[in-house]
Amino acid sequence: MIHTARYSLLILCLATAPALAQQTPPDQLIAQAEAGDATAQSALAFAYHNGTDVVQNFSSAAEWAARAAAGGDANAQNLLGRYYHSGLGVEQNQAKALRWLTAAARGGNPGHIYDLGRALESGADGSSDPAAAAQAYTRASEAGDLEATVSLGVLYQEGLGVAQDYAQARALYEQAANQGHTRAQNNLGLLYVRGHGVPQDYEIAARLFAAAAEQGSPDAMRNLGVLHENGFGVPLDEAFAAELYRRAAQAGGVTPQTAPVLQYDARLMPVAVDDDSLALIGQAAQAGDPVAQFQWGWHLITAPDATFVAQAEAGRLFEAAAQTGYGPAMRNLGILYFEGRGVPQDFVLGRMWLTLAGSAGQTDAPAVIEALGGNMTADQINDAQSRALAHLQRKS
Amino acid sequence: MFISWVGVGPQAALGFLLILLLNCGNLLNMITSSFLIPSRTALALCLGLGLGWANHAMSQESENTPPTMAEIEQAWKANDFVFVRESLKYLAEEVETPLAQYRYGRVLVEGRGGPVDLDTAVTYLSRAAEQNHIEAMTLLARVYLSNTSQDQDAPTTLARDTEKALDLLSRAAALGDDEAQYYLALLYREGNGVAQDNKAAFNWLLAAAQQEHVESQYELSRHYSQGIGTAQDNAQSLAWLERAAENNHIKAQYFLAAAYESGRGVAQNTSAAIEWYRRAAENGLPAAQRNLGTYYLQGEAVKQNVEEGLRWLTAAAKAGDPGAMANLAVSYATGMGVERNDETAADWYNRASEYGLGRAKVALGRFYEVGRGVEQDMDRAIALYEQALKTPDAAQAALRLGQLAANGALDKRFAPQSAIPWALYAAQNADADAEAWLVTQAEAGLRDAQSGLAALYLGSDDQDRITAGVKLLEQAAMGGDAPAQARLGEMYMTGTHVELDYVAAHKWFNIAATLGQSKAVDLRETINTLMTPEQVADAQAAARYWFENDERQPPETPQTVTVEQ
Repeated sequence: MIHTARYSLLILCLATAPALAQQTPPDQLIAQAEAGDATAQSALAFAYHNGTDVVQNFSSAAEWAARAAAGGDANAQNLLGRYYHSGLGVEQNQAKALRWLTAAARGGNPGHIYDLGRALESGADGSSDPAAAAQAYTRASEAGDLEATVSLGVLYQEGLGVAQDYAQARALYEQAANQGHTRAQNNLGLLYVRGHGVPQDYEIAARLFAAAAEQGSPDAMRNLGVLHENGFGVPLDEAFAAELYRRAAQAGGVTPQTAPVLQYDARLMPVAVDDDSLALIGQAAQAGDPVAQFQWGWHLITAPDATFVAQAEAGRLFEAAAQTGYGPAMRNLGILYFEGRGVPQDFVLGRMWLTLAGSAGQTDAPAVIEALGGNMTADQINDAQSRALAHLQRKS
Repeated sequence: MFISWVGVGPQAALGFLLILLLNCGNLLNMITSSFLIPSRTALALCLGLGLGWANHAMSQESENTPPTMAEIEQAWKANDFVFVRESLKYLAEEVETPLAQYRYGRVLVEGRGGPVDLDTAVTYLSRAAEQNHIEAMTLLARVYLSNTSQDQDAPTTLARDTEKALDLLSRAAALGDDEAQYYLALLYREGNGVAQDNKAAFNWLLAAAQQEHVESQYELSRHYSQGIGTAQDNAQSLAWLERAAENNHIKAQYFLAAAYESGRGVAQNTSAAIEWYRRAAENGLPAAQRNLGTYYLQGEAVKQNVEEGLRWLTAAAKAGDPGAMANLAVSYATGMGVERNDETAADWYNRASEYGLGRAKVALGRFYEVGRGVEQDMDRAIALYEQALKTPDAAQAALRLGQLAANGALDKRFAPQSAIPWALYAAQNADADAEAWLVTQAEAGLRDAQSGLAALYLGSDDQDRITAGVKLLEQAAMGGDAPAQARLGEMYMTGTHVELDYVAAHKWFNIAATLGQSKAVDLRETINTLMTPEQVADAQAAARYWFENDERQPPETPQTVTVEQ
């Protein structure tokens, strides 16, 4: 079994070597960017933003975006503005957010104008300027941005920054709803439920909610559920209503069906469970073989009746293997940190290990972060990214 | 002539044999409630001695005329079971009356006048039962219920057959046989061979009890007292217990006495209790003898009679009742009714202690501590307390060990760590020395002392003690005591004794969960839903700091260092 483990380790080195080499962007791109090429600077910023070919790092992305933004690159200006709005990669700053989002919006990209509207409507410092937001949304909407059209409709419906006007709200929602926009369908349905600007009509509302629900909108599922629970415009059907509420709950957040699970390294042979093999794996793990550590940890934590002690030991083993740069161990360790299983619950360390796992060739790491990291603050994300960077610098 | 061979054989040997055979019968009667057939030893005796007589009788048979039932009954009264067995065999085979078949079957089952022969017994009992002989049905059912084929001394091919037994008992019970009703009730209650049915069990017990079936009366009382198959009814329970007791049911007498003594389910009446204890004591029940003797010695509810008291206590003690031994020891230790004698007291404590009685061990330990009636021996005393910790009287032992720890008597014998639970017990019982000792241990950094004292203080009404308790709990939590961490988290979550603080609560739940407190895992999940992402971030950072800074290490014991110039 030791033999197998060594063999596996060889394969592993071959596989991970290119991934490690990808931690820095191509030299040519860096040279161009350093020489002041705004396009190259922008490309670098988005490489760091998306974590393509590099370890995802919003702080590095912000630095390059700032240089490209100064050089007039609208995409970089927009990215930098959003960073200042959210506090990712930089310190949150509403004035800087508006400055760069405004600069980007001048370029005329409808999405950029919409982003400006959002920052105006709900500022990073808690401020809100709905009138200015309405203007931005109007421009973006006229330029064809459906999100802006719907957001403008909400302002008309609520009478924020504009005079309340249900007819205008309805017209805007209908425009987007006809193109299959789910938020528009749902909001239009609510106008029909309440009889705002239209005669109350549950049947039309039900059709709109159903259309949005089919595209996965949790809000629309809940609204359709209410109609079925009360028999408004649809047959009274409490069982179906309950089913809709259940689906809505699943469509939000992490559910047992969508939660990322621990994975074995597909390149390895399955762990043999006879006593002799386990003893050999245990010895090899003790001696510091990362593959054996991973296998032993996997064996412990996947046991159906894994005790707390076994889980903690598995966490320790995955951590030891992860420290040597072993991707599958990093990935599993990250999940354990998010779950607080065998290790303390720590979103920062969880995201750090998943980020590192991504750079070590674990292609589903961004999706795992997406699924588990929804409740993280900007500070936690920044912290996780700088820890990941520091980890790599320490290792090299 | 049949009569003629009654006298055959040496009379002396016959008398000896009869005593043995009689024992077989008694054994059967004693264990009827568990459906058992005589024990292996008894069977062996019947087998070995009975056969010789049977063979002897056979050789005489041809000369004899048939016996009459009246003659058989006379022989039964005279304990001449060999004659009984042979005569009944003849009547059962030749005349085939159900009565003869039943009686022959019974003799075979009980092994009277010859070996136990269950296979033949079943044959004749079945014939009698087919002719609706009620007692035959019941006895046959009992044979079917006993696990006879397991008994190597009663060779038989007969298998246990609950179904047949149930059928026979149902028929006999319906025909009014009280014994059948009783056994049927037991089958229903246990769900043995039939769907479990407490209501049916109750009804059959009631039927049998009304026919003065004593064991049924006793069981019926239990059904009423616990509401099994009927509504709970203390008055009925007491009435049937009284009736069983009147019918000389020993356990009923004892429990009736205990009920009168405690006043549970009946008006408290000590003199009635004493009278019933007396009836049970006279019937040989050691526990009743002990209680009766203790009443006489104490002389409160009854006129003191030391001689009578010691007589009953000694009887119970000799029957192996450790409580009686301990009570005798108390009499000698205090000079209550007898001349004070520490040696005799220690001796009785020792005997009770050997029976595992915890309070006797503790009392004997106190004797060894000071060398009273025994040679002073602290090691022996502590060993006795440690033994007593494993008994229901553990509290007494823990209290004494805690007091000993507090005055330093356990130093060098136990690590302070292991004495902490005992000292805590003593402190809970308001032992100031034990509490002071615990405070010293807590200050020295012993986590168990910190968390134990914290629990003690937090249970008090005194604000200063509560404040001290919170501080101690924080210390224990910081030191890595996971249950203390979980408790502290709960206090922060609910704002009990501390200011409500979700961040602190999450931090301690998270740490405790990582250290293996499963309760903390759920609480962390719960409080997560009540917190903003920023609060969760702060709490996770605080937990990370705790783990990274190794605050789990207990503080170093302060060393006094003299620096010389």
